[in-house]
Amino acid sequence: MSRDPLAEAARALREGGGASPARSDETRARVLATLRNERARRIPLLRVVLPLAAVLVGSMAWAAAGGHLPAAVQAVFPGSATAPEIAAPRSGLPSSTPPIALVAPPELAEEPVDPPEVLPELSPGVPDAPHAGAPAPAAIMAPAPLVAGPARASTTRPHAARKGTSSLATAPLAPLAPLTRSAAVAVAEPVIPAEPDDQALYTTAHRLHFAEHNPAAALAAWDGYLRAAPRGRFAVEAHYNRALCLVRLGRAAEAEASLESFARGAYGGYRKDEARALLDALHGATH
Amino acid sequence: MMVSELLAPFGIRAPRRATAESTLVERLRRGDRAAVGEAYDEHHVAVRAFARRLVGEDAAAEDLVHEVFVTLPRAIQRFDAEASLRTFLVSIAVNHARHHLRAASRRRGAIDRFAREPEATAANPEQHALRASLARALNRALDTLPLDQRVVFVLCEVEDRTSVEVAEIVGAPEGTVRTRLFHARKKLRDELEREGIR
Repeated sequence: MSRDPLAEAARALREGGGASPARSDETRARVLATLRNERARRIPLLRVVLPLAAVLVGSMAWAAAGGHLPAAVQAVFPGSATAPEIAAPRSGLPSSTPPIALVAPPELAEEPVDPPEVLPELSPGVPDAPHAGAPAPAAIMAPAPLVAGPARASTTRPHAARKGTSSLATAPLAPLAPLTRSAAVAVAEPVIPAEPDDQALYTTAHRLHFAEHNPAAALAAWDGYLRAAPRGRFAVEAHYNRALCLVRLGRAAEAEASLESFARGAYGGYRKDEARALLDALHGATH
Repeated sequence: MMVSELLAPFGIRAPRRATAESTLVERLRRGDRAAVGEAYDEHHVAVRAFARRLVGEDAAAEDLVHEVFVTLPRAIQRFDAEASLRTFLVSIAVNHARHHLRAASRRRGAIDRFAREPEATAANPEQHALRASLARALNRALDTLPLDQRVVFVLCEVEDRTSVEVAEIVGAPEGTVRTRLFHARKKLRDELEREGIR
């Protein structure tokens, strides 16, 4: 072949394969039928979805105005908290609504621990216990599978907290009490929002714990955070993470004391199963 | 040669008069379904030809054409009034080609492995068979290219479009188009040589 084979092949491709009129008509009919069906699907959808959306928005507005908005909704839309009693469930029980996952930067996304929706009753401190000299078994020392949540979380939480506090500044939220606390007491103690410094402490503790895997440093950092914001939005999470650090450090008795309250549901469903599993593992290791 | 092509090297666009096309575009924007049918009637041959050349298979080409025109009522909202509707339709085809191309390429591979496509009869069977064989070889070679190089080769070499037009369709600078074309040609030559076509 004397000419450029590529050009020849391109010409062959150009000249080959025109559509038959039948295929063209068939495709045309198919296009119009698809568009007709799409339109037919869209109209009933609008007829159903629009009224539903209107009802939802209306009832949300009514609930927000009347103080019936659940804590979970309020967490998603912090601005909707217009009345102090909104934050506290009517029963005074902590909400078992799963926490809202927020996006975290990749360096801190490992082994996230979600904070609960509510502020729990905070124990005055973990009782001192003799240091368990022997290291805990590997299954206990590596709590990752137990605490592994969605791969999103944490460092944006301080921002979320800040966002929440800005709206809460004008309408302070009542604390959410654990099972043992009465609603009256809960209403009497307002949530103390975390300050920006607390957010830095939280971020540092999170990094030490989940990025650097340094349980000793993380324990100190969690303690620092809890000292700075004992009733901050992430206090419960900090308590739980602190307990994990204790497990990792082999301080089983202290860890057990911290985990007990989670396992018995003092914080609602937050980390209840994980705490129970950790306690079982700790008991198995010590007995 | 069209006025727009003559003006293109100088970076000047031919003024578009208020034609039937702009009316059609307006109707498409308003969601007039009959306008889709009219756009199909006017442009499906060009879109189908491009689709057939790009994916190398009739059924996949028809599916791609179908998708292009089904997408049109939504896509038309971002249509640049300065461009031509046909170019816009081809650019929609480019954007939707990946899936069809993959399916067609798989089918072609299977056919090559397990069967031979029947040769069509023609007035000059030998000539026709040679051309069909060349086209098939080029289709197989095109399957080895990345999508962006394949699109540029088909638009430039098979459809004889200017690099300005191709750049507009693929949404890339002209220099990028030329680079893609250069690499595509090189790879295709190698592939054809490997198949014994010199």
